[in-house]
Amino acid sequence: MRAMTGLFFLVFLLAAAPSDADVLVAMNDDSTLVVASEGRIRGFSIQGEELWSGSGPTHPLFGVVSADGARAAFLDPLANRVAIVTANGTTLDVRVPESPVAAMFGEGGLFVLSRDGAALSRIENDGAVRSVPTSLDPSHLFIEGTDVFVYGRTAGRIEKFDGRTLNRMATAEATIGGSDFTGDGRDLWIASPREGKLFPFSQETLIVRDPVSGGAVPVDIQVLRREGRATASRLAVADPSSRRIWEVEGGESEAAAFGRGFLRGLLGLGLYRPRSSEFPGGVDRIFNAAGDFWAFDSGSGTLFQVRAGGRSRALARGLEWGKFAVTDDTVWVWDAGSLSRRTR
Amino acid sequence: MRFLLISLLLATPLAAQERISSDFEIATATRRLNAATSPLQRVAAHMNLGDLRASRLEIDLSRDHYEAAVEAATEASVKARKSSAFDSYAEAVAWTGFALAKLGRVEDSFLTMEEALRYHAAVPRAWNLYASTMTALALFPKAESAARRAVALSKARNPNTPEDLLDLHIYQYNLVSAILRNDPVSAEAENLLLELLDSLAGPRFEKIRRRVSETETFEVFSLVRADEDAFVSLRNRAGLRLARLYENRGNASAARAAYRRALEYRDDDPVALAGLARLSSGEDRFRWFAESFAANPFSPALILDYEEEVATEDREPEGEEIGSLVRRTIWLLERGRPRDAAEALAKAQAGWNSSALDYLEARIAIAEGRVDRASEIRDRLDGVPDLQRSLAAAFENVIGDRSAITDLLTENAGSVIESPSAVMLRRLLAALNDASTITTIRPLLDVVTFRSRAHFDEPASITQDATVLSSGEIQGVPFRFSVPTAFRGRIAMGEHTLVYRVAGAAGTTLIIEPSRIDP
Repeated sequence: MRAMTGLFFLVFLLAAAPSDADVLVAMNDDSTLVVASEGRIRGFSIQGEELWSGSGPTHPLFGVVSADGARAAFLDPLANRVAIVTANGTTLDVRVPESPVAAMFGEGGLFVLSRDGAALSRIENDGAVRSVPTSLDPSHLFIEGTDVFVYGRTAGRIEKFDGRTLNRMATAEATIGGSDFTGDGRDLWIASPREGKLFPFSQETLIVRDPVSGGAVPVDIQVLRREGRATASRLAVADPSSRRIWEVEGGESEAAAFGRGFLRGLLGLGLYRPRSSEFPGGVDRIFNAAGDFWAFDSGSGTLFQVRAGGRSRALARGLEWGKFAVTDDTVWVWDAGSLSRRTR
Repeated sequence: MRFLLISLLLATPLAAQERISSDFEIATATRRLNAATSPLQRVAAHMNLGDLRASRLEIDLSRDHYEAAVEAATEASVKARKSSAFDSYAEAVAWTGFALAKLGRVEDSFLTMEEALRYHAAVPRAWNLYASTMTALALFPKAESAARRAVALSKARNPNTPEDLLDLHIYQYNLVSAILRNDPVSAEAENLLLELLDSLAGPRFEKIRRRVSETETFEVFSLVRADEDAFVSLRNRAGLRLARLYENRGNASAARAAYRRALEYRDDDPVALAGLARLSSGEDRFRWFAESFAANPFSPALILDYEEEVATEDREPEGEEIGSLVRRTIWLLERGRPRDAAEALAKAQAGWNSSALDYLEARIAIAEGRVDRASEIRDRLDGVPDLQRSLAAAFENVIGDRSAITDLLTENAGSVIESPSAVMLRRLLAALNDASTITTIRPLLDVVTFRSRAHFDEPASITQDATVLSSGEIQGVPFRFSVPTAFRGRIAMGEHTLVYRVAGAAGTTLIIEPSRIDP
């Protein structure tokens, strides 16, 4: 079982009903559900019993879970605080520079981007915080080993930091106004909804490769398969404008391309495949959880399970992003202060 | 469709039978609302009306407009999303976020703006709106940071046409507003304002200035669409910001000159008039105050400024128009005449409905010792923190007063307190009206006697041998006997020395048990 990882952003459907500052994540091999809500963090078992409770951030708006599911972090961009919690309820609450909006666990602790403070911070296990400046509007973060990549959306810049020293190792000019940023083991990818393109950069050198079509309004990227020895990576791209998730094949390494006799890797081109999943509404969030691939339409609050061959089925409706978590057999929903389950 | 947002100033104009300054804007915005053909035009009109009503402290009306703006913006975003028009979607979502901020829905507003930025992070006006949203939420460092992004993105586009330059100047103005929230005397803000005002007066804006002059445009809005509106609003607000900045630095002559320049374009600008009042002395000061109250009688900043200064104004403000009534209420309160103040306020309330008047009612209630009523009003002043703070301070004084009363009564147990002052009697009233202190005060009052000159109302009955009296005033504080009391002999209406004990209070009236009337 895997935790629902990645950054949780938006809650829509706002005008319909006032929403609270609540975030729900699944951690600890999906055996613990953790809710941060209005100054408290509570842990629940998958039977729905409250296991523990403690103080937490006042306005938790985003949540992330470590890759091993052992820790979760809740960001409060209004009060500039971050709370890190373990599955048994031990909580560490620290202050960070202005507006923490993105975070990811990496080697040495939790890495946090503070947008308005233009800073990358590392929160170590003992709560020590070390911050270094970044370019304007650092909005997205990706970590691979000890390399920490920061995308500054307004500055249009990628910065590569050494996660151990927080020294800046390299920078590259990039498109401005990107909406998502990730890496597939070979390249970093920026989704540009404004240009309808995906922009790949070498993770190693930050050299830009040729852009790839990403549909009409590519807004979210998810790596379906990382770059392998003999295989190119595969990316899914949410394009709410055309109500599709596009599947894009990443560029191959030179060796892999030669090995398979293809040249497209040498040219650094991604392969745009005609295969796509269609949805009744504009799907704008995609993620992997509990061994499956999921898509979410913020407009209607509909969660889709995407199956092989591009078929999908709607599993739950009326959800708010950040307030549900998917485990093996259940979609958990945090609503009006209580936890409920929808069987998959 | 292009709507641009210019941050509001601290105290902007203001409403109804007689015209006050913002009536012109309200009339125009209402016309625009009625003529609106798209949801976003409705959003713009509702937001302007909300801001205008808020500036007059018509809190319920302003909330109605902000809620209508949320509804219209949501409708626009749903429609745009359904038709896959994601540019329009992002714009409508951003307006939803801004309107939510005006309603104080902090988290919803923040997350909604984040959603808009997923699609519009490269769009300067999105960041401009974001900055204004953060300002509305009082998150000023975030506002400054967002405003810097708007300016940076706009400059990167090399604005060349007057329209594009006007957009850039609006972003710069909003940046200045954010900077000044964090540093009220910032040199960077001053330089930006001077550069901006210089540019607006320069040759690039010659055509727009001519159109402004031809169409006699003068209304100031927070949300503008036409270049003429934008130009006029920006010139007004930038000039006022600069004046305030000089005022904050203590450079009174530069501030006065800047306020006077603002009045050249609009002679009833309430912010400029209030500024000049603060910076003047003697008769001049009260002339500016009078003009400022005529332009916006409900500005919290103006009311608080006037409360500070009113002790030195010798003449009781005259006139029955709203500005004079508000000034007279404050003047009478300062002189310890809450009953007269209540009369002036009642006339104001007969024609106007504003939280500023509620605030004055609370002040009167405090002065009369009706603490519960004052507290009830204070709770309603949610959207007006400045006035709430001022009431809180008044409450603190009352608490201090109670402790002084307790001390005085304890010290004088078994003796006579001669000629208690009006202030002391009002403090006593306040303590008697407060459930939390009454149990402490009552036993002390049982053992203290007072002697005062009292003005009696007409006797209830009068015979050859006795006069029955029941009520009157001591130092302007109304009293009545617990039961009408007959005194030996004929006692004429008018002033006499009364020896008495205080038995309690009924609202603003002291209940007294008379011992005797001394000759």
